[in-house]
Amino acid sequence: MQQVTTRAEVAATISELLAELGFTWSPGDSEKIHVFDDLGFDSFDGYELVTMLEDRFEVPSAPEDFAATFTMGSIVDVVCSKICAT
Amino acid sequence: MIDALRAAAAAAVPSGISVGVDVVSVERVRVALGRTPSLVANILSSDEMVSAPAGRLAEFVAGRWAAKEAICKALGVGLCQLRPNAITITSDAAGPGLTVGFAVDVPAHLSGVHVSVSITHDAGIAAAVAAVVADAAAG
Repeated sequence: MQQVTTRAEVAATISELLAELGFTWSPGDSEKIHVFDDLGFDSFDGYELVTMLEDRFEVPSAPEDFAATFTMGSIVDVVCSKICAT
Repeated sequence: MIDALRAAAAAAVPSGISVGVDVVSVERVRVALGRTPSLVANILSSDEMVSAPAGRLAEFVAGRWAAKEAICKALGVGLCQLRPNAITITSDAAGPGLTVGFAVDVPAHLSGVHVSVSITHDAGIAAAVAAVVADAAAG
C-alpha cells in the first residue's frame, strides 16, 4: 500500500494516474477543472479512474462517494477524506 | 438512495418505456484491462466473471459495459448510483435473448421496472441498446 498522508501527495498521485489514462492535470493547475467538461472524460474513463484510485490507495469507494464529484479538487477531497492524516 | 433510484427510474419512464444506448471500442477496453486488471471485477458481476470466455475477455467486458451503460441511461441513473457489477446479464438458455438481473441489495431500487437489453459486436465495436418498461402497478 502506498503511504499517502497529505493532500498534496494525494493530488500528485492522482496526477500520475491521470497521465496513465492520457489526461493532463497537475496539482498546480486549477482544482475547478471539470473532468468531463474540461479534461474530456467519459464514463469509462471515470470508472477506470475510480478503480485505479481504489487499487492505489487500497480504499474501497462507496458508489455514492463519487456521485457528485466532477472537479479535480473534489476528487482529491474524496480520496483525502479516506486516507489523509488529520 | 433506494427511494431516489426508484423515483429516478419512475421519472425516466413516465409513459411506460424508456431506452438507452451505448457503444465502446473493444480495443479501448483491452488496453484498459491490461492497465487496470481489477476493472474486470468492477464491471462484471460474480456470475458474469464465471461465464466470461478467457480468450475473448475484452470483447465480453466491452459488451457488458455497453449494455450496463445503456441500462443506466434507460433508467436515468448514473453508474455511481448503480455499479456495473451489481447488474448481471446472462444468456437465455433457450435462445439468443439476454436476461438482466440485479444484485440482492439492488432489486428494491428497481422493483417497478422490467429491463431488456441487446448487445452486438462488429468492426471492433461493442454496442448495446436497453429498454426499460415501467410496471404500471408500481407507479
